Amino acid sequence: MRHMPEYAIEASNLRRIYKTKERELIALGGVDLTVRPGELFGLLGPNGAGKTTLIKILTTLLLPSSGTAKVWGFDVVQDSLQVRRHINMVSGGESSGYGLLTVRENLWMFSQFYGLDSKAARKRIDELLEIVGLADRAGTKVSHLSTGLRQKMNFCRGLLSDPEVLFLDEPTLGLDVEAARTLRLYTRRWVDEGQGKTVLLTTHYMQEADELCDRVAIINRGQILACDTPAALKRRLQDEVVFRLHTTPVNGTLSQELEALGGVRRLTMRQLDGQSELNLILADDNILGGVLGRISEHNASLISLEKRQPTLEDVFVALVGHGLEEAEERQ
Amino acid sequence: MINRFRQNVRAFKVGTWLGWQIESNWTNPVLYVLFVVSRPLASALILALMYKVIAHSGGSDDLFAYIFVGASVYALVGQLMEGMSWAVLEDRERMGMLKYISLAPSSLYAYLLGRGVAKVLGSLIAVPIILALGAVFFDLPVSWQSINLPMLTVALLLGIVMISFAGLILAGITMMVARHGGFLGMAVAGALFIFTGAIFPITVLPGWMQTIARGLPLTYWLEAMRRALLDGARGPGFESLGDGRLLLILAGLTLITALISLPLEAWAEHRAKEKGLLDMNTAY
Repeated sequence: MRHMPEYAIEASNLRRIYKTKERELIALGGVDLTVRPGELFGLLGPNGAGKTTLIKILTTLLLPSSGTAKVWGFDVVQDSLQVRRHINMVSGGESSGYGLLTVRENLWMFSQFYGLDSKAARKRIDELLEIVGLADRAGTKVSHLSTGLRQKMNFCRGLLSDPEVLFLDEPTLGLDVEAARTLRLYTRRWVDEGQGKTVLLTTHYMQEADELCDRVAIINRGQILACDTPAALKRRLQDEVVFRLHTTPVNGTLSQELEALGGVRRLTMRQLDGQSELNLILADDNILGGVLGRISEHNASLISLEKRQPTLEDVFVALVGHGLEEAEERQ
Repeated sequence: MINRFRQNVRAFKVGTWLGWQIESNWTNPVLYVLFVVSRPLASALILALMYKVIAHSGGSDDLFAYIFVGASVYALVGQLMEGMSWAVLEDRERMGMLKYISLAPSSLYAYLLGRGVAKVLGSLIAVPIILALGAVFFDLPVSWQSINLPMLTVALLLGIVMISFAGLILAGITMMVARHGGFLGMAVAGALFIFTGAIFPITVLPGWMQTIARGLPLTYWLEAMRRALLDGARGPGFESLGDGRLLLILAGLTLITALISLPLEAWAEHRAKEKGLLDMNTAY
């Protein structure tokens, strides 16, 4: 019977500051977080929010400036070797791998770093390659693989050691829809069937976090702003209404005017091809009339109007004050 | 404890296997052997012929042998020292794999040692060929009869262990610096070339340089290798030192190198984690 700690991941007032000659950058500003064994936990935030820094600390690749963190009950600084015995990690959007080795050789090599018996490793490699649809490329040199296929191989590498806690850092970045779906489905299955197997997933794809995760923490500028189940996070906006409007092109002045309107909780605007998109969180339906009036005053025409259910993007906007894309631009 | 040891042995084996693939897999075996032989052979020939030209016919055969053997076996030093630094650089910035190896439970050092040893394997093929060529074409006094096999074995093993630990220090420093760190091994190996009597006896060095030379394990290693290969010929400055005592000093200095290397490497890894450099990418 394997030992199961109360928390698979535990961070307390975790801070990380990068110092350069010119300035200090606070990547993590006092993160408190607990993830239970068996959870598929999502960390949602824009690029530069601190997601990867947090993962690096939890995987013992980076030391925190202050605070403590434990993974599978072991301190990431004091017991880093014990931590490493229970974890693995897959990062997306990179073309890592030894190009001169075949897919199978790359995976076998890593199985040895985790002390797997060669025969057992080969069996596991075959199983994983089959799952991600890479079995027919087992003998292909990694340098001949596309980024997507390399990512699938890296996913296999992460699961090879059958870790207690798997860290997935933007695992579907750069993958085609089908490949991303395969990895998501298998991740979910791995957690559901794993009896305590835990995943911490970072993503800036709202839909991915919404569909996949048991709980989600929204992180921005090194701070966790909210942490709950996707449904509970969205319920925070149940007293409000969410609209998406498409209009003929309008400028930023309208946006400022609308934000000043009573009852407009949050607004994001972006320019699309020949039209403007406005996402609005309103106190109630009655505010919409005033919004449409202002649009009309700016000589803009309404192209489409959609009242929709709140998404995690809306939750993010409500918490941060702007959308994910804008947050990335600002950072 | 046993499991950890086994895991580290595996990491070493994997490092050696991968290093060998990287070293040799780019061409066919014949071309590879030609490549590993030609580089140190060219170095040894340049130095030896320079000596011949300068000395005209006045130079002694002993000194020719001193230069030729020293320059040939020194290839092992360069390969092993460079090998580990390059492995850090290559894995971190070109392959993007150092972070994944670092977060595995096996020892990164064992893996890096393996990568270094793989580099040496090429030289281990090359050195005997170069010495044989030297014997055939330049009357180098090396033959089966002149070789002290037990001493050669001990000196070679001690040397590889000692240079590996020295290489680990350089790998640690490479972990803390950007892409130019790759040249560190080359630079240090080059500097030691002067201090350790690789091409000329340390007795020609100024006094302060001789003091440094006598504190360096490589100096004793080169002396031991020459004695083992050249029928026990004692090099200038070491005439009064017996073979047993020479090997003992070499063993002692190897131990000291290891004792310095391990904490230094651990400190370097700690600093790299502190500064977030284990997955640094400087667009190498």
